Amino acid sequence: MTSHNVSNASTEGFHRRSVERELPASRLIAGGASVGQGVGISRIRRASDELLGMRWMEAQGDASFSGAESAGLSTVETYFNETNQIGVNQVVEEFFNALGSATSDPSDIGHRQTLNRAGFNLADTVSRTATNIDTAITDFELGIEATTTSVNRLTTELASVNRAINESGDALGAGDMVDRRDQLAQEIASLTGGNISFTDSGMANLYVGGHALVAGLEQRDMTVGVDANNDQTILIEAGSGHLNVTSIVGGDIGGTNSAKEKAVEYLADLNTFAGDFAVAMNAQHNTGFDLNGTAGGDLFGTTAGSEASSMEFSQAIYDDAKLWAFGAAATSGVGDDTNLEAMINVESAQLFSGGSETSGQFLATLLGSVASDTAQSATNASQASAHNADLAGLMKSLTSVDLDQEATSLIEFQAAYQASAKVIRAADELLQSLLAVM
Amino acid sequence: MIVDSRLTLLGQLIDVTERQIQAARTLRHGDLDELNSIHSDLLFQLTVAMQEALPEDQEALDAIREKANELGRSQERLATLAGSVVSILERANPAAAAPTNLYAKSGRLRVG
Repeated sequence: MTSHNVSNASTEGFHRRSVERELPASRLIAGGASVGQGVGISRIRRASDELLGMRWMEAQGDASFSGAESAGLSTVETYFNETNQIGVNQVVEEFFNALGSATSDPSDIGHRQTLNRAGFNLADTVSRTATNIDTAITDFELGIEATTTSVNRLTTELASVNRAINESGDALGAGDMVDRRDQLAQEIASLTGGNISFTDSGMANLYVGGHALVAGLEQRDMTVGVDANNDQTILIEAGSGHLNVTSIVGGDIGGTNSAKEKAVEYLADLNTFAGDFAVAMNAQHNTGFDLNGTAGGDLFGTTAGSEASSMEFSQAIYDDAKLWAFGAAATSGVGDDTNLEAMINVESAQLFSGGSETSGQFLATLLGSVASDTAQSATNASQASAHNADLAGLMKSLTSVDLDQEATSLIEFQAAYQASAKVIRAADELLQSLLAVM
Repeated sequence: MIVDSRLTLLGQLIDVTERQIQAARTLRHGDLDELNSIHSDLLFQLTVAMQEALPEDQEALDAIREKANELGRSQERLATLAGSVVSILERANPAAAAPTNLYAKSGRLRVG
C-alpha cells in the first residue's frame, strides 16, 4: 500500500490510501451520556471523502459559473467601449454637440459636414456595438453546445466507472476507480454545477437541479435546443422527451448562459435606443426644410427587430450636406434654425422608458447595468474562486493527513472549528449592526 | 481623511480571518484556537468602537463600508471551511457532536 501511495504521489485526483480500521463505538455511561473512545478512522475518511467532496464540487460549480459569467460579461463590456471614450454615450453626445455648433451658422457647409461625420459615427458605433454583442451571444451559444458534448463524454465514462465499482463489490478496495469517479464527478460539476450523491456500493449519482445526469449505471445526454422564441435551451434527455434545465443549470454552462442572457437584455435595450432615437430624430427632421427648400428626409435608417445592428446614417445627406433640414418652411431662408433647435431639444425630451427618461438617461441606465453587472460578477468570481481554493486546500489537507496519528486529537479539532463557527456568527451580527447604522 | 478606529479594527479582523482560513484549510487546530481568541478580542473592541459617533466624511464612511463588506466575504469563506470540517467530524463521530455538554475546557467530563 505504501508503494502504491508513493508511486501515485503526483497523480492528479489520487487520494492517499491507508489501512482502514474501525475503533469500538462510544461507551454509554450513566445518564445516557457517552464517552468518546476515539474516532473510527475509516468513518472519517469516508465522511471526508463524501461530504467534503460534495462541498468541493458545489464550490467548483459555483466558481466555474462565476468565472464563466464574469469572463463573458467582461467581453461584452469591452464592446461598449465606454472606458475608451468612443462608446455609444460619447458619440450621441458628440452628435448633439455638433447640432449645437451648427446654430452659429445653419447654412455653413463646414458645420453640416461635421454633423454628417457625427451622424455617421453615431450610427456606425451603435451598429458595431450591437453586431459585436450579437456575435458574442452566438459564441456563447456555440460554447454551451460544445460543452454539452464534453459533459456527455464525461457522464458516459462516469457510468462506466460506476459499473466497474459496482461489479468490484468493494468500494473501498476499488481505490483507483474511486479516484477516477471523483475526478469525473468534479469535472462534470465544474461544467454543469451538478450535485453528487453516493450509493452504498460506491457509485456516484449526479444531478442537475434534481434531474439525474448519471444514476448508477445509467447516463442521460445533455443537449441544446430552441424554444418557441428561437432562444437556445439546455435540455436533459428523458425517455422520448427532454427536460428543460436552462434556468437551473450551473457551472461553466450556467455561467455562460447567464452572461448570454444578460447580453441579450443589453442588445434589446440597445435596439430600443436605436429604434426610438431614429424615429424621434427622423420625425423632427421630416418637419424641416433643407437649403434647397425641400422637406427633410430620414436621418437614420433601421430595420425592425435588429434596430441597433442595422442602424445607418442617410447616404443621401452624407453625400450632400445641404439636405440637412434646419428651416421651418421652404421659404424661410438660409439663416433659419427653427427646426435645428427643435432637433437639439430631442436630447432633453423624455422619449424612453414610457416617457420617463431622455436618451442620455436611458443610455446611462443601460451602461450602468453593464458596468455594475460586470463588476458584481467579477467580485462573485473572485469570492467563488477563493471558496474553491479553500475547500481544495482542506481536501488536500484531509486526504494527506495521517489520520492514524490525528485520530486522538480530533475532538480538539472539532472544538476549534466549532469555536470558529461561533465567532463568525457573532462577527456577522456585529457587521450587520455596523452596516445598518451607516 | 482621519483614520477611524472602526476602520483599523476591521482591517485587523480581515487579517486575522485570513490567517484563520489558512489555519482551517491546513488543519492547524492549535493555531485556529489561538486565532479564534484574537478574533473574539477584536470583535469586543469593535463593539466598543461602534459606540463612537460615525465620521461625517463620506470618504471615511465608504472606506468603513468597503472594509466591512470585505470582512463579510472573508468570514463567509471561514464559515464554509469550519462548517465543512464540523459536519464531517459530526458525521464521523456523532458521540462528539456536542462536546460542550460533555467536556469542560480542561477536557474533564462535566457531570450532569
